[in-house]
Amino acid sequence: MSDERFDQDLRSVLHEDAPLDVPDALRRAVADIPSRYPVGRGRPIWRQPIPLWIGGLAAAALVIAIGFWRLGPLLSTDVGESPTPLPTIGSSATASSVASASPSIPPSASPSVAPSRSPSSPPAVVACVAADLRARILGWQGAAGSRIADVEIDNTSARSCLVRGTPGLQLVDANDVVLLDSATAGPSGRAHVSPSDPSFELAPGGHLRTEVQASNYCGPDATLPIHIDFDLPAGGGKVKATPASGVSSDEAVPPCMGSTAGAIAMNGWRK
Amino acid sequence: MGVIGVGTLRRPTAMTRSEEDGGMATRRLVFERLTDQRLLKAYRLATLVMRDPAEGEDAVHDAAVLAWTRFDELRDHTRFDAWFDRIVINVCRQRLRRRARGVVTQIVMEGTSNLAHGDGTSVRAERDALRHALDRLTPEHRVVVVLRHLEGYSTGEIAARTGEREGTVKSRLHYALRELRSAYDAAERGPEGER
Repeated sequence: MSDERFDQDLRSVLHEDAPLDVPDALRRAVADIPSRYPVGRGRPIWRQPIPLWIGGLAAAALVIAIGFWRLGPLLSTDVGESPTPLPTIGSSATASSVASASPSIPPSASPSVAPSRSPSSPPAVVACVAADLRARILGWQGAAGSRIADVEIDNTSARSCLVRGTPGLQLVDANDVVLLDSATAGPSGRAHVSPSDPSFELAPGGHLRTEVQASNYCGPDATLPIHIDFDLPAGGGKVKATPASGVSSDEAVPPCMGSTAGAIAMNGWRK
Repeated sequence: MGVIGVGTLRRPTAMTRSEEDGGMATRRLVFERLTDQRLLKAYRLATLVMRDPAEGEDAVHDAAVLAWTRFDELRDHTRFDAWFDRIVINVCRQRLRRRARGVVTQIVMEGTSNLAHGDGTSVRAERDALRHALDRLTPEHRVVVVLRHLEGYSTGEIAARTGEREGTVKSRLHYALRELRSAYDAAERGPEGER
């Protein structure tokens, strides 16, 4: 069998199997993309495709509902009612008295999730360590080329503590294979605290939110479920954010774009 | 908080609305012109790599969405073809990986393999053997075969489209063609000649 004939037949097969024209439906769908997928510098989340912002809205509503439920007793304390034990895991009489004895006016750049009164003998509030916190992934949003996780951390300890700075981030699969690491796939970088970073005082039961964006993973197939490790600054340890009940990791692995480096980063913490 | 890298979640600040609209209109026009010119080649590539026209269609659509949302990253529009091909290839590979994780099915080009070839039984058998061998190739091997033997790209051009080193492309091409040749020769020898 000659090489020439083989080459010729291979080319023939490929040409015969290759479509001769683009289906109209595809041509129309592609022409429609700029209208259906508006982009721009800093495209806000509410301008992403409808299913994404609806999902975000639903998640936000859920979090607000949970927030009201959790903060209700604290709010009632603020208006002068008798102190109510905090609805947190492991909270105790000691815990609530510590919380209520904490300084009432945190530093201006340090919004406290659980502000309290009674300024007598304010205890020193220390940085949260991994053992104080629980982290959950409340959902994944698929943006083109990226995946964005809504993450919530809760203070599950019996003491108030401070969250400050940017943790190191790792996107990790079920076999503990690190898919993306901010230490090498910025831009968040390694865990660090900048002078301008605000502090968030987390009372027992308090929680904070953020979004983690991962993009361009080109490695071997990942095993689901996917979780995110938050490596707290100043050696605070690693908090593992696992999917909340009913949250799927099917869309958690960002697609490989090839042309750019992979990246993982987060927004600033917020209440 | 220090570094906040999720730029897509931020509200635009630097440009005025009219500047942004004007820029977007230009961006859209350029993108539409470039994709329109490249669409057929992209669809052919995706269909042959996916071994299914409908899957090829889906892959090209996904690739076009990605290309549109990342269009600002392409500084030199003369490189659009290679850039877009690369996105198409990556989308195809990802879809194939996902498919491999699910139910494994042999995808045969039903719609096209029944085309009248206009030649004898022996030639048809050999070409059918080539098609089945193409189905069995890994996506990476299939990509280099298609780019080389359908589009006629050099190994350097293929490397630019796949993001691999040229040596890797040559190696993949060698092993892929060896597989195809083996199936082709076996078909030529006939049933008794097959392993």
